[in-house]
Amino acid sequence: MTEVVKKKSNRVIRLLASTDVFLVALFWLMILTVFGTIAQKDMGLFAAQKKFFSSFFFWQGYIPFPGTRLVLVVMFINLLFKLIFETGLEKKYLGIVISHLGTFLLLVGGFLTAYFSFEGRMILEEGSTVAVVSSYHQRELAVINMANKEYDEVTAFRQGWLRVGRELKSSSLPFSMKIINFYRNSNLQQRKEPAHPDYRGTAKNFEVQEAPELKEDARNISAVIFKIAGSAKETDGIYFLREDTRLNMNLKIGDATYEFFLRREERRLPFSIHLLDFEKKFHPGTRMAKSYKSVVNLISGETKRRVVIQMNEPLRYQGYTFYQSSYIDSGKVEISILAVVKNLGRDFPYIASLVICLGLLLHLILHIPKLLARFEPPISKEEEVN
Amino acid sequence: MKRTWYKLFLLFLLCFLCSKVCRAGTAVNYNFWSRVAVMHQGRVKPLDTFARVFLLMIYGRQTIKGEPAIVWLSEVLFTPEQAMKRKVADIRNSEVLAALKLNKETTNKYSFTDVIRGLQNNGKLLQELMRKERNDMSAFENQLMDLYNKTIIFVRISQSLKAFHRVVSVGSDELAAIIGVKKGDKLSYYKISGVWQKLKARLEKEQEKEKGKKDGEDGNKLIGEIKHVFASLKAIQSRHDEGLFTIIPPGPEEKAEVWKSPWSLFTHTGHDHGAHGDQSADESNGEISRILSTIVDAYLGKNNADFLKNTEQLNQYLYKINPSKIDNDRIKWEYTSNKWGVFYKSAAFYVTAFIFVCVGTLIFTRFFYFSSFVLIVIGLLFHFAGLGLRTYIMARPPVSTLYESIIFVGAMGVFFSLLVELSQKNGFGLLVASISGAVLHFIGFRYLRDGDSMGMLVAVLNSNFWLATHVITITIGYGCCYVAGLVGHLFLLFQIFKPAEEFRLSNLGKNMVGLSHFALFFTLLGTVLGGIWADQSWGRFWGWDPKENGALLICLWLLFLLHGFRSGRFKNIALAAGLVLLNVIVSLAWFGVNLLNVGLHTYGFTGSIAYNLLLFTGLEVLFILCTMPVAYVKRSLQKAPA
Repeated sequence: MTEVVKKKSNRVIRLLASTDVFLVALFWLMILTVFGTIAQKDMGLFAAQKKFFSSFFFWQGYIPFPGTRLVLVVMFINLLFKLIFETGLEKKYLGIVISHLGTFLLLVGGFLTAYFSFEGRMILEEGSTVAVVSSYHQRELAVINMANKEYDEVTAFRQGWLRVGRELKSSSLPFSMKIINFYRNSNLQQRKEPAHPDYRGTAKNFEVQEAPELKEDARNISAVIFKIAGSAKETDGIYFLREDTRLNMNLKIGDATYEFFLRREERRLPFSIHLLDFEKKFHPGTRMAKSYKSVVNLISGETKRRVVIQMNEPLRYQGYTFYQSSYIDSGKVEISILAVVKNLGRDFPYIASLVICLGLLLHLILHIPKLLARFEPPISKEEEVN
Repeated sequence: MKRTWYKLFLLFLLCFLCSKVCRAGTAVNYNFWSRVAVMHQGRVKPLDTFARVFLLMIYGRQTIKGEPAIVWLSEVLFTPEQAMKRKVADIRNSEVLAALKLNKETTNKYSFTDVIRGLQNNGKLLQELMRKERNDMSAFENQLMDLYNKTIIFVRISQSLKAFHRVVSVGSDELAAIIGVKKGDKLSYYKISGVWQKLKARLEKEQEKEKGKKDGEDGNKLIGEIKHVFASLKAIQSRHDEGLFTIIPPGPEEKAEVWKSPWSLFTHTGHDHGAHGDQSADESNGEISRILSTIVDAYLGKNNADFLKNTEQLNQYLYKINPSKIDNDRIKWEYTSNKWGVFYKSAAFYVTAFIFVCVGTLIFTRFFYFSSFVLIVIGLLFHFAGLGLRTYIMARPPVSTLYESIIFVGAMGVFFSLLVELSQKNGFGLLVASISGAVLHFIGFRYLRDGDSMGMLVAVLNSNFWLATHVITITIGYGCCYVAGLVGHLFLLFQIFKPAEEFRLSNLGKNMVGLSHFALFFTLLGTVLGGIWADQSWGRFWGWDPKENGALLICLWLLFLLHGFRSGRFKNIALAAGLVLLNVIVSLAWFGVNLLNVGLHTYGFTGSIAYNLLLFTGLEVLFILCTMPVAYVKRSLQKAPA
């Protein structure tokens, strides 16, 4: 009985560690890369990335196809089994083993980046101090209780929560919100017919409609339609929020006033950044940027540190990295835009690629002399005469 | 007999090396004129390069009927009317020709006189096009806009030295006496602006006199003449251009790094309409104006000695204004590098070597083997010399534009092929070296048409460290891939035509594996370094963007081939076919992704890239389909008797 189990498990291990699995996965990854790249032309980078590269499965018509994440998981398992069960430690394979270890690290780093990283941007006007980073793609529904004069109490629901039918509740809010619809991109329109009596605020006169997603994600204007319940008769009802709307939504519920926002997900930093000066230089006689940089004060508690952030020279602090990404010059004030990233897997590509390349180099050194060696042909007599 | 052959070869080599340097000079000596520093597209470059860039843009070549670009540019600057009549505007689109009402020329070249007339007739259409986005335009509209822009540039350049052209005639003795010239002399804007005050004072005086006269008395002719001179002056000035021909560096005390054109000598200081400015600046401007005026006169009067002397003086004077802005050594080397045409020479050596290698398979094998080896080595030396010069002139690694990357990949291809040749000594390496070197040079020359090949870089690319590490590594990888691909071709051909020569086939097989390893190492390292650069500047190691995916695809394909080969899933023939396909993948990753970014609109050069890529892919796939099955059959036949 144990023999049978052993045989079976051996077979499973052999299959999981087999090169065929790797070759098939690799081939599929190539296909995904090709189609994912071409699709960017029509879908835009963000959408194509989400569909092909950040998914386990994706649908093409009615057929599901494995996405890049699944392929990478398969490769990870394949490599793990290969390393554990099928790797000899002979000298001639040393380079290959080291490269495989490096690839293993690269995949681990990829996993950490995919699940434990945060990307966003910080918009700094000259002379201003900011401690908030807003996400590029993720939105949030924020409710601010302004009852206390000393501080604002913010309750925010991330985009993941904004699904149709979901009820949002929090101990800090005396009411609940049920999501009726969430649109990644939307249009605002004046109502042609009178609204249902349940509609409140702006929703009485205007309505939001879903619009096709734009290629450039930054240009999409999200909207959420939700129903407030449990507050009071006059405030219970259906509302909508749009990302760019200038019409504030304020509700007085009980003694407190609540302000509602649909905005880019915000993350508060444990320190703040004060922009002292923003400088840009052009190549003479052109409008082509030669360099731009932000001179900032990094304020953490009582300490202040002067730092210069510029192209290819980011600021790293407490796990966050700040990159000079862009700027807005309105003529009056200069605004610097910093890209902010926190990534647990940040160091992995560095270590992994070093290990892979060392392994490959070792393999080349061990094997290439043999591959380039010339095998003398038997010289025929005719040739000698020539 | 043998020695005579070698001697003849060396003589041929010597003639070839000196070919361009000894070419007969033109009537005017442009030696110093070509080296006048001009600020253009953010870079200080010799006038020679400036001329080449514009001629390439307008005419499509760097020479016109054997004459260097500087001769053409001088004609545009000094005798614009003549230059207008010369057929230089390159128009190939038949719709554009029809819109301009031009008859098709076999050379596809048209004069600007005709082009301007044609454009004027299409004023409305052009106005509409100016409001349209480039991506929304049809091929015809795009080309018409291109032509319009080129015409504007041509006209602007042709006006650059207009202030020194003698165009206003002195009609009477009286006026001649005031100005201090003879009757019938022609005056330039520059000359007249020197006597402006005098003329103005005289005009006022004459007008005073005129007031006292009774009706019916003869009018004052002088007033009319002076007014005519002033009107001509205004007419010339209305067409002045300050933006393109910027040869005057900013002074050391000037904060803004703005280079000025000769027109600024009049509009920014004292001469303009008699207003007086800063005196020292005036003196300096006066001296530059005097030299420029003498240069124009010398050119028109075909006075070579004067032209040479004054162009040298101009260089010295401009340098003195602000020595920190003009690096004479770099200017000189750029001019020399242009004159020698190092990459053209290198390409010529590779082509000759290719012919020699081919002939060598038929006759005089040893002689041709030796000579082609020498030719390729010399070609490679020129190749590296060109790259070295570019590095020095731009003070950055020579791989920052697509053109440069093509040239660099070519050099790497030749280098790796020579390494293979040194280990094998059977001529294959030479064949691969000559093909990869020549083909990539010719592709590179086509990219030159995009403008100055030594363009400035946007902020994110402006990092010598990363250009030197990431870009050089990945381009070495590309070079290695192409060599591996070419060896793959050779293997398939050999398997078909010489299946019996097993030792050679086995050697080629080993070469393929070795080169694939090298290619994988460099492309992988290059891709990873690119990721690290992206992490340093954008905050993410990998973003699945087309350029990154292209590089990834090359690595994945090589990994696929090597894993398949190592695990015995496929053998030499399949590996060779895979390497042939590698050529396609590298080309798509290198050029194809650019098309994706620009958009697949088929117009201008990008259209031809798309077509060429498609053709190349088709040919390579056809090659595999034709050779692979035959190779398998031949191998099985070869093995069968054993």
